[in-house]
Amino acid sequence: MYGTAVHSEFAAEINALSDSDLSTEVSYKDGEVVPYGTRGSVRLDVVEGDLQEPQAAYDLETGTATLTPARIAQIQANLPPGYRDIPIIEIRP
Amino acid sequence: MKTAEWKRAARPVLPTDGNWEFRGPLSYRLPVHRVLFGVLGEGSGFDKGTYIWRVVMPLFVPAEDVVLSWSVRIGGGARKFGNFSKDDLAAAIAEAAGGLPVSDEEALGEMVSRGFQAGPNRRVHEVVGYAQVLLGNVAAAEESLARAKAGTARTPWEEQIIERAELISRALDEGGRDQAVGQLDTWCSQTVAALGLRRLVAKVRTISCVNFRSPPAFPVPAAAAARQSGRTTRAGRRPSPPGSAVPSGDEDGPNLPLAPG
Repeated sequence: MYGTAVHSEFAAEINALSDSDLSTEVSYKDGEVVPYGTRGSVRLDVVEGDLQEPQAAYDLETGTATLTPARIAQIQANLPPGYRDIPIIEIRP
Repeated sequence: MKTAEWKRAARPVLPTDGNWEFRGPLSYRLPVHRVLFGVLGEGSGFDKGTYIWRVVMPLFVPAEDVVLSWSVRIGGGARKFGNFSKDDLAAAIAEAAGGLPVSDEEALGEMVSRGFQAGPNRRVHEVVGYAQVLLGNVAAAEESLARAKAGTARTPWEEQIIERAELISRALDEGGRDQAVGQLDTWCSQTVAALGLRRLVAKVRTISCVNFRSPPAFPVPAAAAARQSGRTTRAGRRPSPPGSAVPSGDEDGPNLPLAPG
């Protein structure tokens, strides 16, 4: 799958940066960090900053997919309280 | 990572001086009191790599899912293990387990210090407030709980945080610290039940059986030997009577030798 390959390469590049401020594939539910696959959670491709005090979130989109207002609202509803208005940024390869 | 794979990877490298229980991709240390300590393998959606978490989860806030907000990923937030080598996965699991706090008190102290400079996240202030209650710092607890309650709730779960913080504040005012601790312990039990965790190390059953491996002094017929050893002469084993403390051969008691037939 092209999209998965792009995400995998993207995650590898983030890891190669060795930037301790960036986390990949972080899931949030009701303001808490939860494991991947937790029912009702949202998965963010990259989170910048402390996971309890995120400063920005990045969503990698491929093909025709875009970061829709509904997706942004879903992400915001699950971010920690006080950090819902952080920038949520779409990035493309 | 499937549960069986996780067990295969984690079991050999977890410290042998502790008792560990497995629940899906989580290995946790027994006994469990007010804080869950463990190691969790979190799969990636993109490849076969696994994020390894050193899990520290306050159980005194009601939860129905494993919460990783107070946990850390080994190697940093973007580091995955096991993609190319099983050795790095094993090393990461060992590192995660080896760095766990040794006690609830140590973990509570770390929560308080991490929350000291926390921003507007009311979830952090809630946990810190309850940790202060458990550590006996009532005045500091009330300050943190006031922060947890501040502002307007924008979601139902934020309203629940405020309600819980108010309940603990009231308990401190009306019944003192003991009443507040009692409420926190009730929530601990709820969380433990919701997550399906065990709290205690299983008791090892011992039986007293003096010289059970000694051969008989005189040759005895097989049937008599079987009666002495409490078994039938067939390969099948006599079951223990209901409620009996004596284990049958299917349990973990010593394997009594059968007389030669």
